[in-house]
Amino acid sequence: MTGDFDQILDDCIQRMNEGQGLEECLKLYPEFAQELKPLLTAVDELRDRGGFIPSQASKARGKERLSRAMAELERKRQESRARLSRRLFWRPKVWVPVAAALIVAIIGYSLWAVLTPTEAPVSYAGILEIRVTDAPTNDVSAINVTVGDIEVHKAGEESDTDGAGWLTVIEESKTFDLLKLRGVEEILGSNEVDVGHYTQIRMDVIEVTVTVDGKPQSAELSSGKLRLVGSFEVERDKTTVLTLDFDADKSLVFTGMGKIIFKPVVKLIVTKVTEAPTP
Amino acid sequence: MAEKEAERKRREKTLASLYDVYYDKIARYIFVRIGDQQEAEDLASEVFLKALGALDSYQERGLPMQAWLFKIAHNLVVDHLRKMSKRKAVSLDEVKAFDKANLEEVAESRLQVERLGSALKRLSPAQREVLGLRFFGGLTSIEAGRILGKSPGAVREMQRLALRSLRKALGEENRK
Repeated sequence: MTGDFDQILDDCIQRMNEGQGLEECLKLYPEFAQELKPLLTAVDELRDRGGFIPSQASKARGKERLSRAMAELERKRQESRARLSRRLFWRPKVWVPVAAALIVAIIGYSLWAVLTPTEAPVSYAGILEIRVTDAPTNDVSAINVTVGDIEVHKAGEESDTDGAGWLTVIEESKTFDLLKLRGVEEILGSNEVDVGHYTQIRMDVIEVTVTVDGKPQSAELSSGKLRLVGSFEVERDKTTVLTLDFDADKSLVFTGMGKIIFKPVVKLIVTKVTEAPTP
Repeated sequence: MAEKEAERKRREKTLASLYDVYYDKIARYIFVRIGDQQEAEDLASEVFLKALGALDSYQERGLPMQAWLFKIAHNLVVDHLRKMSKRKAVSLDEVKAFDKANLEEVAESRLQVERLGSALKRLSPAQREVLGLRFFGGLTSIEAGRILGKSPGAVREMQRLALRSLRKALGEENRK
């Protein structure tokens, strides 16, 4: 019963809070009017006497303080963002001078069919050899690059995007750590190719893992395929060595979100030419 | 991260818009608790600054932001009263009157406020608080209960008892 009355009183108070008058509330609950009236009258008195009007000057001052505090917070947030960007930009481990070289050696040699005494067909072939070399320093302790198919494109062939015109030099995938190749070269593979003039080389970059502060982290690949434009010759009975010199400084991009992007920047170096092995 | 920042900015915007509507109510709620108009106005401003500093911890779990502001006001009042109790007793008689032009009205208002102040002093702090939240804060009994850590039923009972005590106290003050 008391609970019911409390509920009714609460309802009346809520109505009065929303602007209804005392008498209207009493009409809603005539059976409780006698008990409600003195309490609701006290509510009226409380509101009338206690409802002082805060000074507009104080209110305006308070709002000004709040606005200033909000502006200050925003300023600090911007500073904090700028500091973070600066820290990431200048952090040595982020901008490690990574140097690596991928040497693509194309050893081409031509095979002379001399088995027949008459006019034998002449074949020309070379060997493609791929090496990697050089390394950066600092907090990056490893850059493991896994590459797949490596192909070269012969000049004069029609298509350079699909299969036509491209000769596969290496089909198996191979992983090499660029940082272990400082001053040395690692042969990724070699194969025979037709003699002639070549204009492009491309390879599948399957995965790149960068070890920073001892923690390996997968780098995102800007593209799954690395493609280089540069001309080189494969001559009969000779080896042509192509060196792909990675500029690791520019190949690794550390984003503010903690990601690493492998965006290879490579220089093609053509080196000459040793005698191809005699079969 | 950007989402968190956007949410934070949305809350700041909400807080700024609540200032215009709730500053007066919070000031009155505080006034009922401490009886000092100037102090109530200053503390009302402080409520919004505290809220700004704690916006990241605010979670909209059934307690609207305006009710959360009263919770902050409640905590500020508790701190304030604790400090004041170490200095001097707060006198509701020192309350300034309404901002009205007519001197007679001002005098009458002042008298009424003084009587109300004396009557409120006879209530328990908990009763004063529930009246402040319900009548000056404009909160529902459910919202007031969340701030006070009581069930809505307990709040309704408290407000009935508070109003009976207030009516009795006002009657006695009016007879003086």
